[in-house]
Amino acid sequence: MLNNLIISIKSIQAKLASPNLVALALLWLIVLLIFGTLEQKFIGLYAAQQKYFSSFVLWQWGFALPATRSVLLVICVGIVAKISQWAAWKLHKLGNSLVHVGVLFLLAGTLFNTLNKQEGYLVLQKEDASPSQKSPIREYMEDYYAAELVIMSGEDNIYSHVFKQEELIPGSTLTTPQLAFNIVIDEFFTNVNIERVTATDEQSNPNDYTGFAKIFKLSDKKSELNGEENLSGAYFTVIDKQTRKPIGKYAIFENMPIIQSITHADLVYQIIMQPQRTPLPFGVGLIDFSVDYHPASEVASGYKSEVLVYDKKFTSGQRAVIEMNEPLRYKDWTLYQSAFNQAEQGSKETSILVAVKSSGRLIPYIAGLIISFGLLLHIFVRLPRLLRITSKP
Amino acid sequence: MTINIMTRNKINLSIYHNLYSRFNPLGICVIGLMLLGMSIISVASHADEIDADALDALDELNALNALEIRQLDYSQFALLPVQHQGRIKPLDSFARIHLKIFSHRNKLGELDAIEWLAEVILSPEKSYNRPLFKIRNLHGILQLPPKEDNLYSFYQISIALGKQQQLVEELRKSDYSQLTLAQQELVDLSYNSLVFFDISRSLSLFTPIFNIEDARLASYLEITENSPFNYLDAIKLNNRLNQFIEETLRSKQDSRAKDPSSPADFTATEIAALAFANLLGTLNNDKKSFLLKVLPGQWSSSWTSPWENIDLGDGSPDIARLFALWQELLEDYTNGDNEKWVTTSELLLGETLALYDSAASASPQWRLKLELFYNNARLFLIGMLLYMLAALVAIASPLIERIGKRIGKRIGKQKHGLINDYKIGNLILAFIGGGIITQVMGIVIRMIILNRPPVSNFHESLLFVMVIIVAVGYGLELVKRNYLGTTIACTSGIILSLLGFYYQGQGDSMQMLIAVLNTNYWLATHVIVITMGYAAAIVTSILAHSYLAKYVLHQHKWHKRHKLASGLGRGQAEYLYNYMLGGSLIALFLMLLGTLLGGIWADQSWGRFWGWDPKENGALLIILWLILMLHARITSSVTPHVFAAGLVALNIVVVLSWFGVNLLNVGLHSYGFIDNNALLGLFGFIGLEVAYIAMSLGYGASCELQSSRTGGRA
Repeated sequence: MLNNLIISIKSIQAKLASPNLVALALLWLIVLLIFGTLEQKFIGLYAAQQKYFSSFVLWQWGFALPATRSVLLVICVGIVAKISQWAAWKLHKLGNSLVHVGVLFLLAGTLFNTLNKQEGYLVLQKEDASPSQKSPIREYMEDYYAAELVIMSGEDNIYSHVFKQEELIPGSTLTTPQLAFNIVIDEFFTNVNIERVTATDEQSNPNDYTGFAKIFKLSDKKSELNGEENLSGAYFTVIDKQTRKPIGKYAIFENMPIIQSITHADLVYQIIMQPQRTPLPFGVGLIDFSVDYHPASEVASGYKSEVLVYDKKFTSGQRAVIEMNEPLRYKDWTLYQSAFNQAEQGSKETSILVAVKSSGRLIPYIAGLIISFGLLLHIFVRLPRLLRITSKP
Repeated sequence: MTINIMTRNKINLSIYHNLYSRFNPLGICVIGLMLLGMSIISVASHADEIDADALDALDELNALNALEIRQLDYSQFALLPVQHQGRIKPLDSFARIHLKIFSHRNKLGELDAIEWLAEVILSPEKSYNRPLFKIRNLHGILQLPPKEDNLYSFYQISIALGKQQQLVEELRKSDYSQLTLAQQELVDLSYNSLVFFDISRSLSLFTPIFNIEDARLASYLEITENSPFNYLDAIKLNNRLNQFIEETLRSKQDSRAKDPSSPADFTATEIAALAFANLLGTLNNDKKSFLLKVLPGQWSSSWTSPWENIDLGDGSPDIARLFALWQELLEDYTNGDNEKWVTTSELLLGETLALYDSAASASPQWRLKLELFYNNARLFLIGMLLYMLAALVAIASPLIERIGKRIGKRIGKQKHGLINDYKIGNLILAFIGGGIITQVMGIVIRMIILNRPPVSNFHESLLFVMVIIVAVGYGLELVKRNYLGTTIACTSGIILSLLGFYYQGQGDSMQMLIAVLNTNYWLATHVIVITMGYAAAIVTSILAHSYLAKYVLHQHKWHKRHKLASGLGRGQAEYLYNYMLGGSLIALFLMLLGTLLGGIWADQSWGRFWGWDPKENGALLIILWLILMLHARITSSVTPHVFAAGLVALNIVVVLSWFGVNLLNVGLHSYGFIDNNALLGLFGFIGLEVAYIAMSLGYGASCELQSSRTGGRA
């Protein structure tokens, strides 16, 4: 009985470890890679990445196909089956097996990293040219790919509540005990098209709507190629908790210039939509941003942000410089120069940094080392034998 | 088995056998044809650019006839430093870059680039009439008569553009990448004509175009009449001139106020003054001319053009000396006085360098000389010609050897022959080695001039990959002496050289790097390793081509030879197979290491190890393909020749990753320079490779089927 079980396990293991399985998985991975890369041209880098590479299932023409993560999982299983065989650890196969261990480590590590990674943008504005004036300090980062709905009320917006994008599903009801009303999301747009309502529009009576939505209407827009440029928007209805009667129907979109407000029971609530924010354990303010050019040309040779980093421990900020290819590392966080807007009329000088927290940063480095060493070993073992067979004609 | 054949046939057969055994990978013909086809397709659409070299050769012949036109010695003038696109370069490079941009040529008729530039800045009026601008698709829009060389003068172009001003303005505002080819050409042309005009006005402040003929005005301005002077002198008279005009106008007004019937006409003196003021005003427009930055910056690293210097008020006694020398140079050029011209340009070079030296504290003269040498020597062209010679000798070797034997017989050296296999091999090796040396020299000079690692743009990656492949081929030939290495070295050397000429960039192949790439450390590690990976993959693929060619050609006797294990067939097939396998392992190692290094760079610079960017995916595609092949090899269903076919296809994967992703134009790596016509070449190449695989596999399979049938019967 036990013997049979072991035999059957061994045969399954042998099947999983066979190159046939891996070859098949690799072939499919190549197909995914080609189509995923080509589609970047049409739907943008971020969207294609989400569709092909950062998912388990790829939906295409109504079919569910295995996406990159599933394929990598299969490959991982194959590798585990292979390296758990004794035969894999014979001396002449050591390099080969090391490579496989390295790949396994790399794949597992990357998965760990993507699950643990925190990433966002820090938009730093320079307040004024005069150095005495302090620039505003940012203590949070923004996610350009997700929006959040914030409700505020009271003096200095003392009360506020945030609803994350995953809660903003059409039909869902947003509520908190402190609020005397519920918010029902009617429609949500990842990228929104804003148009003025015309007289001929069949959009129903403007009296059905409140505020901005009386004059403007929102509709779905094709996602921008550059996913960060998407502007999320939504229609929602505010319903009184007690009477269950609608108070009004509103339209809202990200960074709206006019703030929408709800008046209920003598209280005024302000409601805004903005890129999703994540608090940082420190604050950053911009001192100066500069672009260097190669002399006599319009080619930039470098970008540089001079920043002040504020920590709870410090009363005053620590000065630091962030340059292209030279990020600032602070605790678990790394700040990189990502983009900028130069001061023009009506806009302030802005430097955009990327903040990343990743505890598994070293995994790819170690995995890379193992893979490279293993492959080198393998080549050293194999190559002399391969080159020896020479037949002089 | 004995076959009766006539003696004559025997000889013929021996030639065949000779050729056959030595062109071990008989694929040389097949590969050569294929790669040639690819290069023709990729280049045919722009044949005129490759033709530039051919045209140059013709020009050189013409130039021999026109020798007397050349009176001036430009060797010192060509060395004059100018700051352009981020670095100090000799005027010769500046001239070549702009001539290439305007006319798509390296020479203009009998004029060298530097001679042309001298004319543009020292005698602009003459240059405005010289056919210069290349027109491809704009004859209709600009209403220009078609010409054989399609070159049109600045005057022609500016008149034609003037008529289409509105269209040009509109196009310049819109997104360049969305325009049609003709529209892009129109935008480029209008921009280029502005650049040309800017350069042509660079020295207009030294040209003596002012001349006061009126004696009264001359005495008022305290100058001698009828002696021409230039802007620099004229501007000193500006105050007096304005005073004179003001006085004139006031007296006119006064006299009119007193007596409205007084004549309103201006006197000849007054008209002369107004004309002078007008000309001065017109010349003031030239102040915008800032491209020819020949004056070292004294307090910063930014150099200035003469006009810019005046405009910024950046003068100093040193600069004044340079001004005087430029003015003298202008006079010498106009007078055609070679002796003085050479002396002045030498002086000017010395003074400019002295000023630059004191500012930059590094001796730049040898760098300028080195660059001039690089411009003139055309090392990569020489290298390619040497590879061609090697290929010619290799192809003709059976014939050469036979001739050698004949001669040897006559003079009595029968045994080894006058020219034997080994000696021919040495000759080929010498040619290839010479090619490698010249091209490595070219790469090293580029590194010194640009002060950065050898690979930083598409053009350079072509050169680097080429040199590595050729060197591998050389080594292989040195060891094995069976023409396999020669095949690898010559085919890739010639084809990649041609592609290198084609992708020299728009005029300037030595541009500065954008900020992300502006780091020598990562350029020297990640980029070099990846490029070496490309080279290894291509070598592997060429080996696979040979293997497959051999497989097809031997198919009929393949099995028999295998069983007999007799030298030729099996041994060669086996070592080709082993080399191929070893090559794929090395390619995999380099690609993996390079990609991991790239990931580390990305992690350091952008905070992410991997971002599914097209170029990253391209590198990953090569890796995955190699891994797939190596795994498929050990499955039972994949035979050696299918494995070889997969490695032939590796070429497609490499080309897609190296050239193809640039066509997508998305993501962080889309800095490579590629135009739309490359798409045609790319598809042509892929088509040829696919056809090669399909044909050889198909033919092989049919032969195998046949032999197995006959085998069954037996």
